[in-house]
Amino acid sequence: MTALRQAQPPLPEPAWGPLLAAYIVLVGLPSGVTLTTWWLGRQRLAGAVAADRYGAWGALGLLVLISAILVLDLGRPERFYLVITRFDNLGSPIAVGAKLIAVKMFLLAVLVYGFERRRRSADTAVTESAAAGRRAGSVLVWSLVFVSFALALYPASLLSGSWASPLAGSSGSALLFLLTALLMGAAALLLVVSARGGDGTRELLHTGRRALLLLVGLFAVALLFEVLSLAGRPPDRLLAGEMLAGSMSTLFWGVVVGGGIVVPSVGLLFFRARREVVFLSAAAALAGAAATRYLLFAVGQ
Amino acid sequence: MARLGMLIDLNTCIGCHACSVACKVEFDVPLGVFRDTVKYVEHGSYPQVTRHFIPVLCNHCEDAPCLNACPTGAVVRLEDGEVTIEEGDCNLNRACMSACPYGAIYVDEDRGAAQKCTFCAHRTAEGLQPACVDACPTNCRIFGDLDDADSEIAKKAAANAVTVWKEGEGTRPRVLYIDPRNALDLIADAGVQADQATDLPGDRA
Repeated sequence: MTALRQAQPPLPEPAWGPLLAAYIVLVGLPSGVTLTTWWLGRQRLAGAVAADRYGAWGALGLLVLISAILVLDLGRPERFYLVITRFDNLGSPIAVGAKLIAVKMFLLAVLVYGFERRRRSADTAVTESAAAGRRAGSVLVWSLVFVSFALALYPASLLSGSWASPLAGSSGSALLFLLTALLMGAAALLLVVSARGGDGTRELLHTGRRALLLLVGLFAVALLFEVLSLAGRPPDRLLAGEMLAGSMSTLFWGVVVGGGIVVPSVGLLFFRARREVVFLSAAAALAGAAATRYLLFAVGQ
Repeated sequence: MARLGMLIDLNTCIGCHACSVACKVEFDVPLGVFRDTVKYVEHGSYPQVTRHFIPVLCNHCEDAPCLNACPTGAVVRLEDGEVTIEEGDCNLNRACMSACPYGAIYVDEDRGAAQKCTFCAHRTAEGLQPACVDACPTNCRIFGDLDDADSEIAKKAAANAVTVWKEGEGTRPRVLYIDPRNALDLIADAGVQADQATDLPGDRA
């Protein structure tokens, strides 16, 4: 009987290494932060405006960091601009993703400028209420939401075209990339709110906790069906084996399941009044979501 | 407009590596990487043991994944179908390498660009044969227009059962093989680049 064995990659070393892994993990965070703060803003909570402002600054900072990682990963970093300025091949996910990151950075810069300008106006008691300004603001925010949604999904498209990340080509990969981006955003926001305190903290914590719990539940279901979908074809079973019982099993059971699902579920359901537990749960959820994205990148290499 | 391709007859390859050497010389290919090489594959068990020699190179696929993956448009298809890399447009993001199922693309640090077989486009533009074809002592490689029914390659392809490497990838290679002993199945998981993990340690001379 011939034993099943993992297909060998066509190159001795994967073409994409740790920097690309960090990029794939981190690129979900600004998307999640933007989408979470946008959703909180629609709940009209007391601290939502401040969260929106800090979220915009945070997402912009993260995108700068992510862009730096992407540029550093290039063999010719001085030619990084070609990914943004060349439109020859819009069938390439990395070309579309880089342009989306540039667009989002521009939109966030405009949004941050608007926030700071409004703050200064409030300090000097000058009010701006022009309808045109509100309409422009609305277009800006909706554009940010769509670009963030696209960036949350884009790693699935990027990695599914590569032989080096076979798990990213599975049926549940796009959903997992989306959910982990949202989870990371909600968890990061809860982390900041629970650590920092201030106006509207209680309301934000309450709403953020419920949102995180919902996302953890959806993530658990998506993960379950992802694993079940790997039980069919022999090459997929090898990937499942590597993740569940092989070299990646510690990361999967310890960080993804333990940290990403069990800890936040228990903490947020049974110890929800304690801020330190909320902080710990959010940190664990953030680590679980990040580890899931790493596994989608690395399993099968 | 031609549809250039290559036919490799595994019946006549003797594994001499003349093609590999000619290619290395033609393009000054760095040590440790290859545009064109020959795989030695042993198969069977004593006393029925065979060694296959399988020349491998970029397949200049009709549906080339590298072409679709490149974000800067550096990977281009020439008029006659050769897939090549414009060095000036490559920023070494390695998306093409991650997409190519044949491991045919490598990083040339000296040139600062991804590199691969070009079917010797600079030679064929002048009516010459690719360097590997010229160098082959057994004429196991035939290069030409697959669409020209009168060409040697089209005639030989029509007269023999031909196959391609990793047909399951669906890339429709333009490098065809006459492979009566199904040797290509033995390198279904391999790539053009060689794994040097088992090489002895130490600096190269």
